[in-house]
Amino acid sequence: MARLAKMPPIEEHVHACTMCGYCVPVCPAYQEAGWESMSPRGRIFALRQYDMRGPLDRILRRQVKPGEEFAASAWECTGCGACEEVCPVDIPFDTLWDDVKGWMVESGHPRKELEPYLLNVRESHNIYGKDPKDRAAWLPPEAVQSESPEVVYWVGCVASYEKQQVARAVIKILNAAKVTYKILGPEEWCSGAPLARMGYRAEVEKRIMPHNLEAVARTGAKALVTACAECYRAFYRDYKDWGGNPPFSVYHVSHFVEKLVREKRIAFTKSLPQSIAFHDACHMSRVCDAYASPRQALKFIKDLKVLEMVPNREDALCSGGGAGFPDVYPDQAANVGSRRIEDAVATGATSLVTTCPHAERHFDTVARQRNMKISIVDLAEMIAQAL
Amino acid sequence: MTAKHASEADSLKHALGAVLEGAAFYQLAQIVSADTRVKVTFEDLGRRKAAQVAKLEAATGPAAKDGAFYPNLYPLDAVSKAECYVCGHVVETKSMPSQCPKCGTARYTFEKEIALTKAWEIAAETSRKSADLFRESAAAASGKARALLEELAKEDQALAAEAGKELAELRS
Repeated sequence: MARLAKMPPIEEHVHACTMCGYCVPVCPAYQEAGWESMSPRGRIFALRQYDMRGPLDRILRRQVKPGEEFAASAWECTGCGACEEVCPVDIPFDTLWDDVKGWMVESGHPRKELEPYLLNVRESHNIYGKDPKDRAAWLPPEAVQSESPEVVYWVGCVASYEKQQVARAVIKILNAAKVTYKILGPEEWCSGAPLARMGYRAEVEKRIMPHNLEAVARTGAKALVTACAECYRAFYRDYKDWGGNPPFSVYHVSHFVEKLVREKRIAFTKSLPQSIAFHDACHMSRVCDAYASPRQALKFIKDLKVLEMVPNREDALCSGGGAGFPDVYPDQAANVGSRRIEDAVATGATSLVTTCPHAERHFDTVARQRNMKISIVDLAEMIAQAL
Repeated sequence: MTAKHASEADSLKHALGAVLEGAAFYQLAQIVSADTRVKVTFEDLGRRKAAQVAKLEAATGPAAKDGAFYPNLYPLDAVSKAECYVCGHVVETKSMPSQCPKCGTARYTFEKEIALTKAWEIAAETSRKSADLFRESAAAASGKARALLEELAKEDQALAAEAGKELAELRS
């Protein structure tokens, strides 16, 4: 059959869908938009139609290629991976949506709201377009870097420029354990995970990934530690999927703390008698299957009560802050974030703790806008407070 | 308020009621129907009604919703509730759970088999009736309100014709 829509190689997955609809109610974007075409199944249905249409359909004036309407629904996605988690035929939705968004960008249907991020990373190597020389401006005086480090601390754009308290907390942890470390400063570029979810995967694969892998490998460090769920996902999963194969181990700070405790290099001395609600960051928990390590790291803290939000782990609701969703659909993203904060408030906790600085920024904004009384704290900050 | 103004306000309330009812019906129908082709058809129809709601609200103000007259053009009862075909548990369609709270089966057990021909039959019949209603309302209105109601009548007349063509194609 002559197909007119030149799709990326996703036909196998598109036609594997049984249209069961398990992915529909779990999709945070569908929960807000309410239209079938905004759900994973609706998008797959549309893709299948485009894949089957040929010249006769064109004569009958049917739409044979995805246009602006489909592109708008392609970005009704937070990149949370909930659809992949429930799919009974194991469609790899997580990468499929990246491919579909990339296809829409190549076909001339990008989201204007997201283009500045791409330009910022191209010009300044961070998503905010800030001066790359200031990337390590947060470094506290007690930070002593090594030229032959045990680990590279991968800071990430958010902790470098917007939530620098997270970066300082990680330095406190590394110093407490006497770990030798190095920070790449301007040589650290955005990991590209946010860009890949916005439809710019090709840019990340060709330009950003090789630079970042080379920059880390050059230090001679055997491991990379990060406190950012998105950066963790980039190094732990995306780069490997794209053939990058990092020549070093990749740790989220929670994994690394567990390792340090096991090796008796760190001790938790202060008690933190409070209740916190733990939010599973999608890119670390659901996408990289890392549910236990942040919970284990929090268990080390004396008198800290970790409360589970409902839903949690595989079923956890997304923050709504990923894949450029807040830029393209701000109201929907705020509603998703607000519902998740309400889940945290319902536990009776005074703080919401998570592992994703992107989610934290989104939660902060929503909580401020909607006057919600809960503090948003990064897991690294909690750990640092207890040392 | 003069009698003419009162009549014009009532005509807008009738028109608003009809489009709100249509928007609500198609929203629920796209949730409750089982076939994805039918879902996307109801969604398309629902989006058109939502666009009409926006036009009328721009003319009447959002508060007019409260005083709208609902003409019962659409079979809302057929889609407002959904029943689990395994255990018979009934839920409100607008808050359809991801699995049956009684027997635990998946969400699709609540969905109804609505044929695509049925979807277009509903669209044809209701859009013909609503086009008539908009025309009657336009006759009682003047100025911008009249022009808007005439525009809505034309849209629904065109929709009725489109639905007729779809039905003919499906039946051929």
